[in-house]
Amino acid sequence: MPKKKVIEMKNVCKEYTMGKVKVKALCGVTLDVYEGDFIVIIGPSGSGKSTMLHLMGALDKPSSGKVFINGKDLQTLDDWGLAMLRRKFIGFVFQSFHLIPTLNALENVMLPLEPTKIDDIEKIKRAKELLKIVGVEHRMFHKPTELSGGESQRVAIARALINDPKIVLADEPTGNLDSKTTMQIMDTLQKMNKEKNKTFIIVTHDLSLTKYGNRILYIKDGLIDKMEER
Amino acid sequence: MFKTALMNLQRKKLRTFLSVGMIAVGVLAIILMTALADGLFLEIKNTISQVQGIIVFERSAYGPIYAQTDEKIVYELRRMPGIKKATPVITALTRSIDGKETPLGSMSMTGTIRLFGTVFEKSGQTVGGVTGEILKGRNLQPGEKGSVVIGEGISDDYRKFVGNKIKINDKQFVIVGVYRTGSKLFNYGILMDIDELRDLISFPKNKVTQISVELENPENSEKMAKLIKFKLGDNYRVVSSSQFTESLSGVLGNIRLLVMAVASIASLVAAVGILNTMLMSVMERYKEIGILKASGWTNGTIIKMILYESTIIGVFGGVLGLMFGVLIADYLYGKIPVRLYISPALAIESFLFAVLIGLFAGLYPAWKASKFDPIEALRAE
Ligand SMILES: Nc1ncnc2c1ncn2[C@@H]1O[C@H](COP(=O)(O)OP(=O)(O)O)[C@@H](O)[C@H]1O
Ligand SMILES: [Mg+2]
Repeated sequence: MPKKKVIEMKNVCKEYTMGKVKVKALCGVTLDVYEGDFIVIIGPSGSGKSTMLHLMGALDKPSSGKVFINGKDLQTLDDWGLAMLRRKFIGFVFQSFHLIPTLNALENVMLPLEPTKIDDIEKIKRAKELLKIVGVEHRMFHKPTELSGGESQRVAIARALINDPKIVLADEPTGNLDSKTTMQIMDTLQKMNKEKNKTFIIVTHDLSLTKYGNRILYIKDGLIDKMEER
Repeated sequence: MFKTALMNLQRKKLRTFLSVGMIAVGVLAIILMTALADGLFLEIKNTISQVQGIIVFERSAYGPIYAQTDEKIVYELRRMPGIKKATPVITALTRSIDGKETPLGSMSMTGTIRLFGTVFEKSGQTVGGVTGEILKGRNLQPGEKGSVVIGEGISDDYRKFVGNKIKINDKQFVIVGVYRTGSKLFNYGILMDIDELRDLISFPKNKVTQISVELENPENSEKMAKLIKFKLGDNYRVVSSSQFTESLSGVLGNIRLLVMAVASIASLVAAVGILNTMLMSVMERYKEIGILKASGWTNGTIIKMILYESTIIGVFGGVLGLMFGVLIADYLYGKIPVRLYISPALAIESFLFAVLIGLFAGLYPAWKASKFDPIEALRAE
């Protein structure tokens, strides 16, 4: 059975204008992402990795070319449409966790569901389940300041999964973690990928993480320099 | 969403508290000032409603208390059909009671004591045109000299009772009765025989301040006032109590508006304060709002959250202001001459005003927050 395409990028360019100067962050990227993929995007700083991730996560629209997420052309969507697309299909994980300091772990995980009609009992049930899967169930009533870096990132991963997204995008998720914690977090992500058949796209500049991906994308100067499949 | 908004407000308790306080003070200003105007209005309306029928006095005077009106028009009035009674009245202010000076300002509510001199009859009305009841003792007899009936207010303030002596200006009187009317103002009065008062204040012979006219049919007061005016000519002013009420309502209505406008400006200052606070709070949460947007919150949801927050501030401010308003009005009851009257309408209006201020002050910050670019917000490491 052919795998389902979840993201399609066709000859995508992204330019930023800084005053009168135009900066090409990304140019001529074409890529298909399939359900269940675990893609590792690797490249030097400033090569356009984050820009690419933002486009794949419906946070931004391309300057030219096409991006389809779950078959939807980003160009046809307004702010509201993009937000709804993110709500339904996408989860984000960031390098510096971005947990809300006054909310405990459980409340942080539930936050993306706040605008939805899902009732509180269901939200709590889901959040507890996810915290258990990522291994920080015992810390759920702790505030972010009481959590270690690894624990914080686990909570952030649970938050990214709370809306049961098809695609999870992570921008340098282990950038603030030591190598041992990095491996634990990557194992967790891989587990989620295998068990729940979710698509993961991980941006990093840590070469040692390439072993986790079924596809490795090497980015240089806004271009896909090389792609490895396993 | 409500719970999240509440939690957000709890983060900076002092700041939230200050915003709530600002609104509360604004609301308090509105409530107390309007209640004062309303209370004053009520008191004056009560006072006027005590005066029945029509009063007639000389045209050139500002008001009856300054007038010197010919006493003989009493006879002219008594001959007119529809008039039940026409009584000459002299009103004046005391200079001193028991040697202690009393304020003379005719507009001041406290301390001023009015003297009413009139012709008493067996039928026992208290004073021309003003209805009341004798609380203690008795009313004056026709032509009775050396005796007075005092108002309840004076009895309370000066601890004077039936049988006591009272020195008014330079002359001693015996108190034979205490009366009460429905108006505080009129309860600070002293009744005596008209000739006695004329002597006391050296008022010109054959002159009185006003003539009080009682009608056979009180509903006709407007029509009768016109008739009397026609009959007496332009040298006299003829005022019916309903006319009085109307013109005073007009003036007081304007005062109420002015008071509300001033208080509203105070509240607008509070609104600017909240706007500033909310703006600060939104800016501080730049990254947070970025993550919310990245996880699928729409611009509308962000706006809703911020508006909830600012509206909650308005609600708490309104409740607090209202509470303090009622407490202060309660505390001052009886301690100041005017009752602070917080009508249900005033309570509801000022509360809604607070809520609206909160809501409006949140609009711009909410809009601003909704425009945050999540990419920018999350890049800023
Ligand atoms: N908002 C922006 N305005 C101007 N230039 C930008 C903006 N965002 C990214 N860039 C530029 O685009 C290029 C790619 O950035 P980015 O995708 O963040 O790279 P990476 O994530 O690989 O470090 C960089 O040269 C960066 O300076
Ligand atoms: Mg980057």
